[in-house]
Amino acid sequence: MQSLPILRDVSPLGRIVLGGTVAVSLLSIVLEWGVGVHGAPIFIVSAAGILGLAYVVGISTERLGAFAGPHVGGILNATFGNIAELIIAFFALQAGQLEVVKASLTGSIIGNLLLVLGASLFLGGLKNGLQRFNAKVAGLDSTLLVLAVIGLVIPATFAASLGAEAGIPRQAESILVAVVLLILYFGNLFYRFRHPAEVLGNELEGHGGPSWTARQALGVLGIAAVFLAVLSEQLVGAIDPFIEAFDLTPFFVGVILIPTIGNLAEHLVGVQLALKNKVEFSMAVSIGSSLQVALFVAPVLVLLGIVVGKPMDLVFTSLEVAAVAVAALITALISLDGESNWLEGALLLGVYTILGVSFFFLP
Amino acid sequence: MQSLPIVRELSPVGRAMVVATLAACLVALAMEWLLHVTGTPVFVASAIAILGLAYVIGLSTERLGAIVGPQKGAILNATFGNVAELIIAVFALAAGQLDVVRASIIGSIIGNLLLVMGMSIVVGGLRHGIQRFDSKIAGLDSTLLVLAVIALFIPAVFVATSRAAQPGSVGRIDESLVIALVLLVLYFVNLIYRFRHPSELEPGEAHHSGPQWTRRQSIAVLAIAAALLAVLSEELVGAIDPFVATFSLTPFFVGVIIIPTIGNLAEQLVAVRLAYTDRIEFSIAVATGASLQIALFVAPVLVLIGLAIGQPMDLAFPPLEVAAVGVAAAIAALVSLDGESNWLEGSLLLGVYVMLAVSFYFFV
Repeated sequence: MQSLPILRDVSPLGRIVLGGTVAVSLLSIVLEWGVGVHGAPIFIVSAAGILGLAYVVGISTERLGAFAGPHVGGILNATFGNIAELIIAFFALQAGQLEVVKASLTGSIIGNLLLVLGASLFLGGLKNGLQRFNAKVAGLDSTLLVLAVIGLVIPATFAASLGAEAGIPRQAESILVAVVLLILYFGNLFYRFRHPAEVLGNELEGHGGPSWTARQALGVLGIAAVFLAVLSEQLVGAIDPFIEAFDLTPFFVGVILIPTIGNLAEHLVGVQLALKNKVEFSMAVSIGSSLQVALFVAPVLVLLGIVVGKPMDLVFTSLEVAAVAVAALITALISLDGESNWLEGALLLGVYTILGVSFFFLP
Repeated sequence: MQSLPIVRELSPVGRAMVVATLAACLVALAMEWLLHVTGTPVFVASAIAILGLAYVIGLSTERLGAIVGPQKGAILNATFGNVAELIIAVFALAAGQLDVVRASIIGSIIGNLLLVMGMSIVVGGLRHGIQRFDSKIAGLDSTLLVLAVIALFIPAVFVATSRAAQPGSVGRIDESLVIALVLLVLYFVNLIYRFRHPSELEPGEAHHSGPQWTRRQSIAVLAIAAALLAVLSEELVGAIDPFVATFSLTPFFVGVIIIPTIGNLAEQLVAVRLAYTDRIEFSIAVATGASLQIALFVAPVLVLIGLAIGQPMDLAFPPLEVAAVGVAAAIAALVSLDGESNWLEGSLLLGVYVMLAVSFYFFV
């Protein structure tokens, strides 16, 4: 393995993760297709494989971004940053697991805002004391978060007012809302590229990834995405037996487990940045990721749902809407003053626990 | 009486208060146990006595705080500051008056945020014009208030949407139990943060340190007052139903407006006096601090005590109560975040309090 040029250019830790990921992915595929195992074991092994694949997708995107320059690199990061969630959600959608898809969108948003940001601010604050960041950037992000909340609250209210005879207007409204969200997502990207100094603070200095050539990076990205698709399908197929085996609810799996699987790599990056006292970048990772899920992944899933004949609307359950709303509210409040400390991180973690418990006990 | 060392160290007003409190306690006890009066008169007499006892507890806590130093003193204040509410609520809980307990938690929070803070800002603003304070402290307090609102809001939504969340069902109690533990942890984490970063958050100590009692005298006064408070709280709680019937009130109104006023009046006077002497920062700290303490300490402790004594209480408050705390926290945060206050802002807070009180008065 040592002689493979792709592996040679990766740090020792990265090499272990890369090797482990390939091994676990193959193991998972063999278990399902070769040995014929089903159910909870497949769920766990595929989850482990996806964890690693999300990391590999991250490295190769970074590398590609380093080639393409900051602007295109930003678009790449913005598109592939949540590719694991998108692929898992797509297969769940195809399997008709609408509850799980919606729950995983909710979970991704609140996980990034509360768990990732909370852990980052808590650990960063303990290590570095009071941390400062650009309140202007935080202000724009907060406004977008409010937009995301509106994009969830209005369809839910609309559906509640429609009552039982939902049907066509409900679906049509969701499609239009999804299109608006997508337009605003791209408007936001566009604005940030045209006014980088004002919005991005100091350029998001990607740590460049390994020194692969463009072709190698593309190759790795392509292979990882294919593996991701196969494992996601296995994972989704094993959700029901997994729920039964551990006596969980689909909400809990969707809100807590699946987003953690898709996001763990990002979690670690966010915390690492905060420990290095780069709290601004850390916030860009966590808040940016939740904005991307709300304004890009969710609307794309609505559109894909129509294409694959499994129409999904944006009508989330009350608890989900409430969860996203309170997460956005407390994040905005904490970030608007341009300062953070470990207590604020602890508060975010506390809110995450409160929400997690509620989803756990929701029958 | 003049010769008792405990009384001698008090200011004339304090002396009158202590004596009157003792008298009121004796009257209330005599009515219940000797004259066998029940119902409304007992409610009124014990309410008056509890008002006084809350003041006496405040005095002895302040004194103890001055003896043990600012850090431990702050913990003492943080623990005994709302002990009257806590004791009343425990007896109401034991009597199965869950609606009244929940309502009194809500009433304490909105009373402190709207009535106390509103009065303080109006009085201070009329006398001193625009008053300034550190908006950083206000910012942290606002964030904690939002946390408190979240902790009330999420269980309410949970109960409203969950298919099997019948009153008393296992998931419902368990959810509230874990949330209560999270709140308690965050409450203590918050205390730790404030002790470790005092310069950043506390506006230079302002203990008026109470009467010159010795440590033993203070502890004795505190213990006696707490014991009397417990006895009178039980009488008060036992007389709630007849009182409600006599004045044709709702349990909600008694819980949201009357009981918190009884437990809080002493604190209210302190806050208004601070604002009057142009120490608006302390005044706001007293008001928000008390409401935070209710939300993050008293409420979760009641959930735990409820489980212990077999009266499980969850944190699923009715929508009007959740809305009341939500709007109170929002407007209090808006008013305090700019670091300035004037009498108009104070009257806005009072206006919101009146609107909420009216709604609870007519709520059936």
